[in-house]
Amino acid sequence: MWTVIGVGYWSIVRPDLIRPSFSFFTGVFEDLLCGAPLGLNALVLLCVHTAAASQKRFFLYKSFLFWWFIFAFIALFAIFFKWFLFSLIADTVTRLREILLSYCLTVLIYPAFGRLFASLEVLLAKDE
Amino acid sequence: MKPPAGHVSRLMAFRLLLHRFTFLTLMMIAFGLMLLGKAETLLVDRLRAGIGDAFTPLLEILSRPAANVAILVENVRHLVMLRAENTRLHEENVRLLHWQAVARHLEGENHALRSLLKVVPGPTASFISARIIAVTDGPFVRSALLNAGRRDGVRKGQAVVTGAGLAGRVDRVGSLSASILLLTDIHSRIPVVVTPSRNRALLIANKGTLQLIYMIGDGPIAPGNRVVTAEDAYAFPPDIPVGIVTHVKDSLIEVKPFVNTSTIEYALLVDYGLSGILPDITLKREDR
Repeated sequence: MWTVIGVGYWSIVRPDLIRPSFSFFTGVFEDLLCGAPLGLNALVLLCVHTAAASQKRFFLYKSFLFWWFIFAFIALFAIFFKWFLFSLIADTVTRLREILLSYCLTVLIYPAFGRLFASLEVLLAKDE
Repeated sequence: MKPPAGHVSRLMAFRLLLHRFTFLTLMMIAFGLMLLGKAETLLVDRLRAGIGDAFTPLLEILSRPAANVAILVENVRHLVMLRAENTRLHEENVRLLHWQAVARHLEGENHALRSLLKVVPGPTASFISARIIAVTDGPFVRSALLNAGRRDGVRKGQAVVTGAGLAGRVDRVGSLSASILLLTDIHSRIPVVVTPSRNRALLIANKGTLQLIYMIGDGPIAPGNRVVTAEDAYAFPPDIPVGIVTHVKDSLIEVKPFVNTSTIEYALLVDYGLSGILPDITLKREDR
């Protein structure tokens, strides 16, 4: 779920840097490295990218709390979509408690990554 | 020389079309990859092993600070629980001293009986120690990456143990790295024996717990029974501790593993020269 944070943030802030193909290949790489079913994270990240980027105008110039709140929605969609796809591929149903735990952890650590990405974004803007 | 205007507009239109359908195209590729992952497992395994090999040096560097932080957290936790831990260790020491006396007695008796029956000793195991450089311990996948591979003698199917017991088995082998399928992963299947009843079963991970299925034997099973590996299908060496039965209700038997798979740092790979886990066909081809 770490990659969901990155893709969710950068696809809104800098869609010129993070293209759908980048999110897709990040997912493929994650699948290959972590041993997840091939294509699973690729599809999830692609959907997160598209969902976040399509709402760009809605997100910009809003408070951090608002971003956090919206990210919680995107992450919820991402984890349940992933759970659904994984259940189809692996032909088994993963325990809901673990899914929710993973989701809560991702949402809780978002502010730390959000602040870090915001600083990075300022640095990138200065360079340009 | 400038390209003709009609040519440029056609190119632009194609780019626009491509951009518009990027999502759809990538989505179809993702579904294609899912099918490929199911159908061409060897190709995907080779890809995974290649990626694992390529990123092993980087992950090895990154894993050291993470391991140091984990040690620090563990040390603080131990300091907080020092008094309770001391009492527990005293009690455990008394219990272990008793078991040491029993084990010595049984060792002598076993030696005497073996020499009487002229028992042929079983195969000796070889061990490879390796560091775990990455652990994926999420709700979907439970695997770990080792910094040892084919060149170090790692083979697919080797049992992975820690001081506490079985942690999993080697799933994929690259030349510099190897991937472990942890026993808590939903794809893990381990032939086991429940002691003292000696009932045989298959240990699987289902909905976050380890469960025993396909039980053979009529012996009683109760919470507290130990579960060890069975030599069925020549997949694992026998009698490696796996876990303890925690819950028995009708046909549902839950097992708690001895190894906490999310905190392993080092692992031993045990090779008894068994051939139960199917070897990589690609490796066989390379050997020819």
